[in-house]
Order: sequence, then structure tokens, then C-alpha cells
Amino acid sequence: MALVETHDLVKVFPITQGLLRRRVGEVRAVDGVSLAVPDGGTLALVGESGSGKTTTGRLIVRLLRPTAGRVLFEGQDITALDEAALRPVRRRMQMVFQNPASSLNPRRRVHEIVEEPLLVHGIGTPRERLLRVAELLDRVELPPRDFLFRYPHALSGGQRQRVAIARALALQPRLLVLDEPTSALDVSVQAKIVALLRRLQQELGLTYLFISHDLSLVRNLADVVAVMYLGRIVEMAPAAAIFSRPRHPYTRALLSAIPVVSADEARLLPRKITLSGEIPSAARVPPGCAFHPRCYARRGECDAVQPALLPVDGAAVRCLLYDPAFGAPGLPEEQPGRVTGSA
Amino acid sequence: MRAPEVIRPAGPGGEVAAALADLRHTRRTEWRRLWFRFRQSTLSLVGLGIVLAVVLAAVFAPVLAPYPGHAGSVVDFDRALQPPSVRNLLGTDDAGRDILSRILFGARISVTLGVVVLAIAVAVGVPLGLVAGYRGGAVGNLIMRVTDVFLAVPPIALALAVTAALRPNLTNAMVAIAFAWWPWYTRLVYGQVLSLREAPFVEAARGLGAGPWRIAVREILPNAWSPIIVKATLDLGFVILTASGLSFLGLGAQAPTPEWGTMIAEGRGYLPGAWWAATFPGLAIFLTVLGFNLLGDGLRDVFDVEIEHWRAGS
Amino acid sequence: MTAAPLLAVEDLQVHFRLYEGRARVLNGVTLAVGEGESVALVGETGCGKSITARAILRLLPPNAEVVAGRILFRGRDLLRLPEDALRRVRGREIAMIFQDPATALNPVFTVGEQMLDVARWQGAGAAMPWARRNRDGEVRQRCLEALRLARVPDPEGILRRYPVELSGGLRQRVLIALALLGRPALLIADEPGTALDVSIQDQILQELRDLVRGRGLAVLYITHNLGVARMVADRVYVMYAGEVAEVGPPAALFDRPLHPYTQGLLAAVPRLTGTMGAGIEGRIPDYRNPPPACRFAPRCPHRLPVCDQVRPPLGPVAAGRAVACHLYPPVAPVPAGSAGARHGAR
Repeated sequence: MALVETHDLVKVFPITQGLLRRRVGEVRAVDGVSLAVPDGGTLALVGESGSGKTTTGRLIVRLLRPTAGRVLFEGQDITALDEAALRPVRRRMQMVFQNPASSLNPRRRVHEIVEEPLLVHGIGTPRERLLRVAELLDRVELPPRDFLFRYPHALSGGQRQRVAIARALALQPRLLVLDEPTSALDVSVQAKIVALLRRLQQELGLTYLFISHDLSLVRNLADVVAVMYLGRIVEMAPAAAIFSRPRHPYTRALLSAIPVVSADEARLLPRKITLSGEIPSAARVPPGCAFHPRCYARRGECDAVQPALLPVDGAAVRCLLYDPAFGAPGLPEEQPGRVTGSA
Repeated sequence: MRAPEVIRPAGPGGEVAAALADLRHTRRTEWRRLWFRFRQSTLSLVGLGIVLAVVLAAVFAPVLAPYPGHAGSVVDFDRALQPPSVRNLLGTDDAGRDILSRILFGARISVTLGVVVLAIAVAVGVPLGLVAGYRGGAVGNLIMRVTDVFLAVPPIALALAVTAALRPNLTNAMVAIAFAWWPWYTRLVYGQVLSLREAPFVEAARGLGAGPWRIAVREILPNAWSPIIVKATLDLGFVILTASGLSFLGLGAQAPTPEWGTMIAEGRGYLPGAWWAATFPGLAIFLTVLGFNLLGDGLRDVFDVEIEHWRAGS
Repeated sequence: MTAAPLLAVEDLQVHFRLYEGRARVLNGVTLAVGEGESVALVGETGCGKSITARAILRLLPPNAEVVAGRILFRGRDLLRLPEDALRRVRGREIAMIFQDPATALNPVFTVGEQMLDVARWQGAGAAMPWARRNRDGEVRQRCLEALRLARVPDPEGILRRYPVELSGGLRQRVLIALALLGRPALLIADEPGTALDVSIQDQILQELRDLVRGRGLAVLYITHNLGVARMVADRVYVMYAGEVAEVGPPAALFDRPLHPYTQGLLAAVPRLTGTMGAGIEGRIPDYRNPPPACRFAPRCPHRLPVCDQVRPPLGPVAAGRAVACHLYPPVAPVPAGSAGARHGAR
């Protein structure tokens, strides 16, 4: 049972110029994303800048309004709800942001920050709220005595992120969307926060949508991984499968670029693939397959035909190499006796 | 409220009580730290000293003035234009009134005027800036364009025009200056709101379901206060200067009100002979404006560090 | 074999004067970079690696105080150089590639204006004023050459562009080119590529590594990313709380870490094999009141009584490896003042 589903989600940002706000172009930040987050599980959205992963996260919690497509939460279509109708829904889905330094109001003390959700929804008396905040802080391993009345600038990065998590848990949500929650943290602090998140998921039965660019991190957290490029999902599969048998050329390239720490891991990586060029701007998405200009396995049709997300062996891949209509040859490096082409 | 998953009645309660007890101490330390940073600059302390002196003079004028009556309509032509002496520390003016006493009462007028004018300017300007910045759109545009029009005219000229249109007295001068001053706060707050509007913690508040008013007032405004406070402090000096200017021109306080500008106008004709009649009120204005300037600068330095602290995420 | 290293930091101690007291951040940092060697200085936030890098070029903030130590570059102590001599070293013999390409370039000048400015200034004093106009052509060539070395496509076009028009990867390459302008012998790369996407970062690091090896440049990489260190460095220094905890070649060091901190750190790195440890208990010490002896002792799972009494020296334990930990008595007696033995230089 999926707690969250999206169907062909699209978000377009217009580019305007001049005094009269003429529309001169558009950025298709999210271009037809369909996914389902299993209840109680973790789905990871992985991608680099411009991939649309952050925007997708925001669309799901309705911080943004989709241009097209649908978002279903607990079976309910929340795509077009207005703010008033969304309020009760917001209690069950919360977001944890990337930079803990700026996601907490610097002028408020910790207890005010964590009790804010309770205040907004009119829950409890001041005394009850304070007690609840203390409980929440306890749950995220911050002793209330020391942390209730501190300001964010007196906290370390890891502590701030714990406060952000406590705030997100205040309304007892079912879904947490975590947008790069540990990118700004040191490795050892990241490990502790991840351990905390795992524990919370178990204790509270939470569902996570985990957005990250760090594949190694995702390997340790996710049940399902969706790789995004320029607004589209290019590959989606159970975590183990994506790492053991990446199918989309971009996924392989991304994996091969991970700076690993040990020889064991280096053996697990695909052979090093250096992508040519840089990620194009989302305002000028290449025609056909968005990835084709940089793809080492590019074929003639790739600049004309947009591949669909097709099921392949328990995974879903968006690449003509797997499309039966084009012969479904698969990746060049997996062809017996074939010399790999270069980009 | 739904019962929480785990109920530990003793635990959180005890911690909360202990934390509350700590809070008083923590608050004191935080103030002390601000004060320490403020103390680093001698000039800021000088500014604070001057401002305190002026405020004290204003509050305690009736007690401090040797001739309180002279601030009103008491005259003593026998003693007109006496140089500074033991009897009249700053001399007397052309109506024999003690200049020191009049200056002290003038402080009362100036401080009241400054505070009232700025209170109005802030009360009008800040909400307008908030609405314009957060709501944006047509309303925001309208507000900012009106503000722009006001800003295009120098404040003194605007105040002049308004007082000239109304009957010249102190109250009208106050209204006129407030009228000229609010747009600066709107512009200031507008800029602040624009930059804060996209901050992650504002987004987080929206994600919680907070409405726009709540966000504007509880999230954005507390982060915008520092420049407002600094500007208001600096402005106090300039407002007083502007009021004195208006009074000097005869458009503000009228005789026999002991407003500093009026006193200068009255004493101007006796320069350079009876220099004390015009010079001491002038010095009073100068010192007051200087004091507020230095204090405002000092506050800005203290607040800047704070801002850097949280911006750097340290 | 030990020829004198190009750069040798010896027992560097740096304190900071704060409102709340004196922060004794760097507590005797010792490291060396040989000619043509790539060395990584690795550590988490607050360990002092950035401060060490800045100390080398004397770019410390005003409230910092170098309390002890030497920084020898080609035999001269940089800490004792007069300001004008130091300025000739900065940029020309030692160049820094700054961390954030978005902010390290001035947004109101074109790339060309900034590069030419630096190149011209670096040549200042070497040419008579009347010869300067001729030098502009030569200076421009130098800039173009540096851009080509940094694999910047269309160097002439880039000179005309403003930093804001360039992508992150391009900006980083411009920063590299800027660093190469003075033809330095030593590069200091501060968190290279951190602000970039993984694929771009990989590309740029590879190119930098090849470039550096090709020209025999020495590089000191400052990074918190162990994987990056493994990729680019011949030797890695692991720093904790203002001290060097461990030294060694990356592959050996990461596969078999000796210092408990390094072990904890590596255990916490998320692995592609799906294992990820739980981090290290505790926090970095308060520099105003640091632990008296070993600074990692309060968090160490193998803490011994001696750890709170005597500071463990950085002693060699195997070829090319050194640890500062009481769990490892040194393999051979450490002769006083022996630079080679002290930091395992080749």
C-alpha cells in the first residue's frame, strides 16, 4: 500500500523578462514524475542539480502547486486543495530541510521552534505544549534541560537538525520528506542522525521520502531508489538492484563517479565513465532523451524519441536501450564481445 | 490533545522546571554578552551617555531646572541678555529667561517629539512594508509606488510644505514630520521581507500550515527588527534636527515654547555679542543628534555581529 | 632518500582570542609536503585543517595568534618573513584554490579583468613602466595558457564573461587557472569541488590530479571527504581537534585505520556495501578548555589512564605510517629532530 503516490507530476516555472513580465521561456523542473512511496518504507530520490528531486519533494508536501499531474496522499487527491483544505493534511506530512542553520528561525528559542506546529494547529495549553516539546526533544536525544531555551546559533549542526526533526514530529505525521537532511553535516554526525532516523522510523512507523545526491548514503537507507535527471525519473528499482545492476547509462556514470573509501567498494563500482559536458540548464532540455548529449551509449534515435519509463526485470528504466520497439539491446558494456563506444 | 505515545509524567515535567530555572540565568548572560560587545566601542558608550543625559534632562527638567518658570511665560526684562554667570549658568535670553532651564525643558519637547514621530512612522511604515513585501502583487506594487513618490521629496521639504499648509504649531510639525518619515521604514522593511521571504525557516513554517499573517509577524518580523531599531535610533537625532529646523523657520513650535530651534531663532539677532543666546541651544541640538548617531552606530555594530553569527550558521 | 620537503609545518600552535577566552585551536600540527607530492589534510568541521592551510599563507583573521611553530617553505620560515617577501611567495610560489567558486570570484568584473589583474600584479616589479604595454600581450598569453591547462573550453570567450554567467564547474576551473598563473611550486586546494555535483567534481578532480602529476606540482588538499582524499592523495594526514592523529598512504590507512578516531570516522562513512556505523560518541572538545593530554580521550572507546596524563606523540609504526596514540608504541626510537621519522615522509 502506497502512502504517497504521484501520477505524471509536472511543475513548470515560467521565465519572465521585462516590465510587463513577458513569458520568454520555461523551466520544466519536474516533467512527468510517477512514483509510489511504500507505507512504512523509504523511497530515495537521487539526482544532481537540476534533476528536480527537491521540487518533487516540495510538490508532494504541497509547498508548491503542481502544474499538471496528481499527488495522492493516504488515497486522497491533494493536488488542487487550497490552503484551508490542506491544513489538516499538513499535520500528517512534514518536511525536514537541508540546511539546519537556516531552517530554524534564528530569533526563536528551541522550545518556540518545536512548539510552533502545535501552536499553528491550536493544540494544547501552553503548559501541555511545553511538556510535549520536552518529550520530543528527548526523543531526538537532546536533553530538554539543556536545550529547551537555547537559540539555534548556540547549537551544532547535528543538534540543529535534531531540533528540525523534533519539530517535524510534533504533529505525529505519517510521512517525512527529508531534503538532503545530512548534506551539511560531518560524516560522523551524519551517521548519528541517520541512526536516529532509522530508530524513529521503527518506533513510530514513519514513511520516508529521502532526497539526496549521495548514493552511498542512500544505499544504507532506502528500500526503493529513483534516479532523476532533468525533471524525469530515469531509473527506479529496489535499492539492492540499483547498486548491483544499474541499467540506465546515467545511473552507471553516477555510480562510477562516487569517491569511495575502500578497495572493496571500488570493486563494486561500474568501470569509470566520464560524462562529457555539463548538466544542461532545465530551461533548455535537450530534445528526445534528455540525457542523450552526454550519453556514452547514445544511438541515432535518442535525439528524436523520448523514451518512456518501462519495466525491466523488477526495475523501471527510461532508456531506448531497453525499449522493445528499438530492439532492446541493453547496455553496450553488457554485450558479449562488443567494444564499448565512447561518448 | 491526543495522548502521546509514551507517557512519562515525572521526566519531562522535572526537566522543564529545571530548564525554566536555568532560563533566567541564560537570559542574563545573553544580555551581558550584548553589553560587553557594545562596551568595546568607546564612541558607542559616549553616545549612550549623551542620550541618557538628554533623556534624564527631559524627564527631570522640572526638578533640575534652576528657574522652571522661565520655561513658560515668565519674563524678567531686567535680566535680559546676561552672560553666563553663577546665577544663570548659561546666561539669559532677550526676555531675561534662564537659558539653562529653557534648554532642559526643550529637551523634554525634543525627546517627546522624536519618540512620537518615530512611533507613528514605524507604526505606519512597518506594517505597510510587511504587506507590500510578503503579499506582493498589485497591492504591494501600489504601496511601493506611493512610497516611492514620498521618498522622492526630501523629508524636510515635505514637512515644510505640510506645516505651511496647516497652522504652524508643534503638534502640526510633529504630524508633518511623521508624514515625511514613514516611507523610509516601508522601504527598509520591504527589502528585509523580500530577502527573508524565501528563507528555509519561512518555508518550514508554511509547511506546518501557518498562514501568511502568522508568518509575516512571527517569523519574518523578528528577523527584521535589528535594522529597524538601528535606523530608529539614528532617526531620533535627525527628527529632532528637522523639528528644530522647522521651529527655527517659525513653522513649528512658537514662542514662548522653549524649543531649541525657536530659541536659536530668537537669539540669532544678538550674535556675536550675546552669543550665548543662540549658541547653547545650538550646542544642545548638536550634542543630541551626535549622541543618537553614535548610539545608533554602536547598536548597528552589535547587531551586525549577531546577524553574521546566524548567517554563517555558526 | 629524504630530501628536504618542499613544505614543512613544524609543531604549529595557533590560538584565537575570543570574548569567552582563549581558544587553543592548533596544538602542534606537524606535516610535510615533498616536491611533486599530493598530500591530503583530512578532518571534520572544527578540526583546524582550514586554519592550518590559512596559516601557511598567513591569511589568518586578526584575532588569531601563532603561538609557536615554524612553517618552512624551501627552507625559509614563512612565519618570520616580512610582509613584502611573503607577498611574493603568495600566488607565485604557493597558490591557493579557494573553496567556493561562487564567492571566490568578484561578480562585478569579467574573468579576464580578474585574471589579467592578478597576472599583471604578479609580474610587478619585474618590468619597467615603459615596457608594461608590451607586457600586456604577454600577460594575456599567460592567462590563456593557464585557462587551457585547467581545461577551460574556449579560453578567449571565457575571458570576456562574468563569473555569474559560468557554471559551477567552469568557475572552479577558472579558480584553478588563477592559481596556476604564478607558476607555483605548491598548490593548496581548499575543499575542491565540494560545492559541485558529484559527476563534475569527479571530472575536475581527475583533471587536477593529472595536471598536477604532469607538471610535478606539489598539492596540499584540504578536505572532509575521505573518498576524495583516497582518489587524489599520495599521503593522508587525519586531523582531530587541532592535532594530527594519523598519517599514511590512503589505501592502507582507510583499509586498516589505527587511530581510534580514524576508525570511528571510517566506520561512520556510508558504504556501497550497505554498512554504515553509528558515528562517534560525544563532540569535539571546547578549545577554550581542551582535554589536558590526548584530545580524543573523552570520546575514545579504548581510553587508558595514560591518555589523560601524557599527550601521545606522533610516532612511526610502519613504513610510511605514523599514529599519535598510546595504543601504539613507536616501532623504532624517535631521534630528536628527525624530520623523516616524525611524519613518515618518503
